[in-house]
Amino acid sequence: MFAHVPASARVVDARTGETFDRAALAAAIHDRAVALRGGGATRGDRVAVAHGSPAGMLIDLFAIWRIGAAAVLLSKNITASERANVIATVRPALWVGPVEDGHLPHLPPAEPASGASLASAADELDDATLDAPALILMTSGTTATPKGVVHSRRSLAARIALNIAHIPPDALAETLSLLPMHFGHGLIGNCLTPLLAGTRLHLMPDPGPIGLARLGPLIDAQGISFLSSVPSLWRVAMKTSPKPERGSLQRVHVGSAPLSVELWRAIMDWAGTEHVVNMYGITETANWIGGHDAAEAPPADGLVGRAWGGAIRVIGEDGALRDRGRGEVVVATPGLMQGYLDQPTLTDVAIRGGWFLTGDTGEIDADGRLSIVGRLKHEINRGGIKIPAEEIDLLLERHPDVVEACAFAHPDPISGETIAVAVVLRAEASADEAALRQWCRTQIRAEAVPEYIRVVEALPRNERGKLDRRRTAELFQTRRSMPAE
Amino acid sequence: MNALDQARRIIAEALALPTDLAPMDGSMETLPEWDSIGHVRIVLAVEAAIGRPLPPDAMLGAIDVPSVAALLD
Repeated sequence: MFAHVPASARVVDARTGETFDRAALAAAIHDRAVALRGGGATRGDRVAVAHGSPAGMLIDLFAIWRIGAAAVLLSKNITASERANVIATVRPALWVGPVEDGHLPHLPPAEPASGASLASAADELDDATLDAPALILMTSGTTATPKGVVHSRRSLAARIALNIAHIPPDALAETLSLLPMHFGHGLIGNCLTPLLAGTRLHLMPDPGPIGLARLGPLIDAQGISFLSSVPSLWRVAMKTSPKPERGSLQRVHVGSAPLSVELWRAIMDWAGTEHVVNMYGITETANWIGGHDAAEAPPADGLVGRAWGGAIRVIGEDGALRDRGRGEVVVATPGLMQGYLDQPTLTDVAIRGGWFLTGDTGEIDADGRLSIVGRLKHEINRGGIKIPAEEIDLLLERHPDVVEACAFAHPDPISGETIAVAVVLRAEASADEAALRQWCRTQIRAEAVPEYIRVVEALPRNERGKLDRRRTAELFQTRRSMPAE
Repeated sequence: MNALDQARRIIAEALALPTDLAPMDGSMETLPEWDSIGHVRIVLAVEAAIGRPLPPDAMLGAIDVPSVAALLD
């Protein structure tokens, strides 16, 4: 894949100011591929990567592809429990990250500055076919069988090519990435797309409160022309950072969570550009499927525009695919995943006749523009990071004092949603809410630890005896019939 | 309630800590919940308590219990 990166591409570590040109990256990737092979990884293997070195993660990724293996990118905050579960499911040949695992060959994160060896004059080609698995993104980590989304080189290359075709080249000239790189949005949209377009990529994932408070001056200092992010990031940045003053921003993408009209307009004002684009993207489709640019037509709640390649339809009440009207959103895209890792039944449920069932409900207007109006999945969107409610249920039900748990989204003015859980304890239980939350911290990545845990006597059920998640959330918010112990 | 205790309560509530009061040595460095979103929650709670918006320097300087307490004084 790196052979397709133009000579003009640059990677900048925004924290240190170090810049790596293509030759330096190629040398580091070459060295890293040698190290990976020396660590025992080879063509067809899976290599897990979990660390916080942004340039190092890119080098690891391209090196893994160079040797023909598939990269499994994970949160640097992964807990020991999640790591064990992911290893059991993914069975990686090698673990790349700061935490050694006694049962698995291990490499420390790549060090981009060490790329001083002589790279071959000609580009080395990846030792894999276009349809070999290339990237596995985990959408849950703690449940018995974590769900891994498998992308091939073909689906990634198609997605990136479509992204480049739909974004003016000048806009990508100085791209800033503030997002974690183990998600499609941060990795494919905000990093691989500008790199493959041959532009300069400034990396500052996980900027923290201080970094976001300096976002405006950073944009000015680096002449940033493009960045993509999530709504909660903007709520933080616009509250704490002065606006950029030099007018370098040409285009902003916002995605991974619902964007209100008010926030959309506020971002346009802060960023100083009308080209603020509400994006629609899903991990299974290698991030962006489409987007709506406010410069083309005024913002509207949920408006995500037309498809960027492929097609978007809704399933009508009669079960037929329609290009107008309301229903579950389905997409056909060359960026579609191969399937869920080792879960063919789950894949068959999600992909029917080449169409991916998104789990979102939407409406396509007379001009062919899609608006997202709701979702069918029990997913909690905490600042753009999606956590399946069922994963939190199953996590807490592993605690010896918990009989049953029901997680749900709790509205939040900053992050959009937070994670709340109602739990039923055993009669002789000693754990309380604080103890349960502390236990969760040891079991699950930080971004998925519930903000609120409420002990209740019983969970509401529907007439068929099924857990009623919506009713549980309503009771939590009104604080009725759910006495805390 | 003195400013330190008020700061500890604001931080605990803003970060949804399992205790009523944040630890005295609680800070952006020591509390994993004190991320970007948590920081804005603290800033908003301080602004609500003092009845006026905080200037950018003050937002940047609120990094632990004593500095949050100083904003409340």
